[in-house]
Amino acid sequence: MRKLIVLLLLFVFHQSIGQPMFQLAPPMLKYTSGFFSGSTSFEIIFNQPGAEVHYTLNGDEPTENDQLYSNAVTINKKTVVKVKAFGKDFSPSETVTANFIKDGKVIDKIRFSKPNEYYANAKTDVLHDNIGGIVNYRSGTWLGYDNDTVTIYVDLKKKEKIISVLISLLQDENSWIFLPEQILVYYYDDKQKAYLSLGKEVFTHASKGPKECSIREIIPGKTISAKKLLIEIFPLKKIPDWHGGKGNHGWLFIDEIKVY
Amino acid sequence: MNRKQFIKQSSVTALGLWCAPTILRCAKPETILGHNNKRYRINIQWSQVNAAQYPVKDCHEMVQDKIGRIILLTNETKNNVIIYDKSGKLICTWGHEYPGAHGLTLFNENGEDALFICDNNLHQVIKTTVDGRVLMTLDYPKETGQYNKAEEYIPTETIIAPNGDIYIADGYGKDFVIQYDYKGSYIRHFAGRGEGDQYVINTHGICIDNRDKNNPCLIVTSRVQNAFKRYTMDGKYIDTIPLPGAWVCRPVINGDYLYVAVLQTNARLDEKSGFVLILDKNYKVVSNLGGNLPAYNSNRPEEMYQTIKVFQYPHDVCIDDEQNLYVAQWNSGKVYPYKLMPV
Repeated sequence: MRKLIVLLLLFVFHQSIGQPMFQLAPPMLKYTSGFFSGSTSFEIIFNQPGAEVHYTLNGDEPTENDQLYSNAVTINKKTVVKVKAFGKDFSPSETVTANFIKDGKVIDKIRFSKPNEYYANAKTDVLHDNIGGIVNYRSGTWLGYDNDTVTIYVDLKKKEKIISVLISLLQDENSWIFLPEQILVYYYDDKQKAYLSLGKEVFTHASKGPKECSIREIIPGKTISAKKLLIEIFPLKKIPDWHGGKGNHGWLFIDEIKVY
Repeated sequence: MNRKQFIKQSSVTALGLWCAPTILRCAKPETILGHNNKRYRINIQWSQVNAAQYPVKDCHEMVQDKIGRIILLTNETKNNVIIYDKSGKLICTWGHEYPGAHGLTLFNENGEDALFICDNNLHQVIKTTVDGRVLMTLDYPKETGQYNKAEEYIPTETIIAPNGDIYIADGYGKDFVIQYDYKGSYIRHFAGRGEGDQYVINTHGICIDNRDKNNPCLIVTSRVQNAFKRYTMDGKYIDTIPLPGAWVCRPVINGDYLYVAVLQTNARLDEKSGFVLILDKNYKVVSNLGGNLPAYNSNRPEEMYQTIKVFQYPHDVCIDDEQNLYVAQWNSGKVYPYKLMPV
């Protein structure tokens, strides 16, 4: 009942002046790359009188009690930045998220399946060049695939204990770019002279996800040392029914791999 | 809660309900959009049209006729043209034959208003009276030697010069501007795509800037390049007005100012990130309605972006004889135009 009355009040209020309480738009979060060695920084751009921007560096949802943005912020470790605009005459913006990923084990080279020609890249080190992490499939840092299987061979500089394998993917379903059906990671076992399973991640696509750089970390279930890794990614073969492109092949976009 | 408490609470609520609009209006300041001397209050419920009876799809463009009526063009063939008075009351509707209705320009020809409709689907520009009688139809411009078939030509906008010359922007086709005389005879074409400043990408709009009476020029949209390009009236490139980040639609000049709907911004493509931009006589950004406080770095505007979610995909601005604005939107949930009043 009380809820109903509140709704009714809101309705009357809304009708009375022909103007709702507007929501602030998400601030612009500017950085050159989400991947770095040493340190990096980001800036927030949002010039709206009567509004201010707050952020967190621990992955928590920002509130008005969190840090007020004024100047560029330096990052020197793996960080999830969340940013939100607030203003007393507005409802708060949606939260903007960026992942900052620091270098891991030294990668010697990465070989990968041929991407679609429209979303290819001439750089052979494109998947370990510390360039990317920008939520724009046209940024030139992404490799785009619309086939059934993407195969990636990762060679480390030397044999190392593997704690996790990180894969940076784009999720932008409005542009038909989906997380894959499945990611399988293998390591090369010198004794058995074969690639053995390290771990996997399986995805469902039951409902629309956010537009973001999706950082996937595959963690082995046991202690593993290896110099060579094999990653198999299976792009979404059939776009689900809730999407305008239903039944078509989904796209997979990838821009960086790290090994820790 | 017992009955007594319930009655007590109900009567307090009823009082609240009665006072609410007044109290809340005092409590919450109204949002004023824009900057400097171009600031507006907005009424998103301006249109008093019954959506069931007179539906819209995309609200593409709006103009005001000589007797003060506001004319809206939509690609809804139940009523391609909806004519309002300035208070948002319906006067009349017409048009069922323009499935790709996109561009709407009004030209006062010897005292009579004429409309020019660009239809994306028919690949034609149609000149009509204000009540919809067809006066002339311009098909795809074979004379240019640039087109093999009608489908390659998807006109988005027209502008008519004082001498009656018709300029058509092929914004979703090959990006040429095609110039005809008042009878529809081909004169020349220019712009189009290519390497160099004189070319455009997505020439979505066009207008004549006659604020300098001795040097009128054409302002042509290059929407994907986030810019306007200026040409002489005979199609020679003059210069570029960069508007970083802003997907500008049709330039509309009224008084000393140029108004333009920004469909969306580079910062958030495909995310309903539009706003309305106003430039002064020197093409300097003075106000962004729903966008950032204008800022310049040397002579170039800093990247522009939406700051308040007032608009989704604004597609055109109409300025009436009392300096009110009307904003029509594309792909924005079949929303009717908003009205903005200067403060």
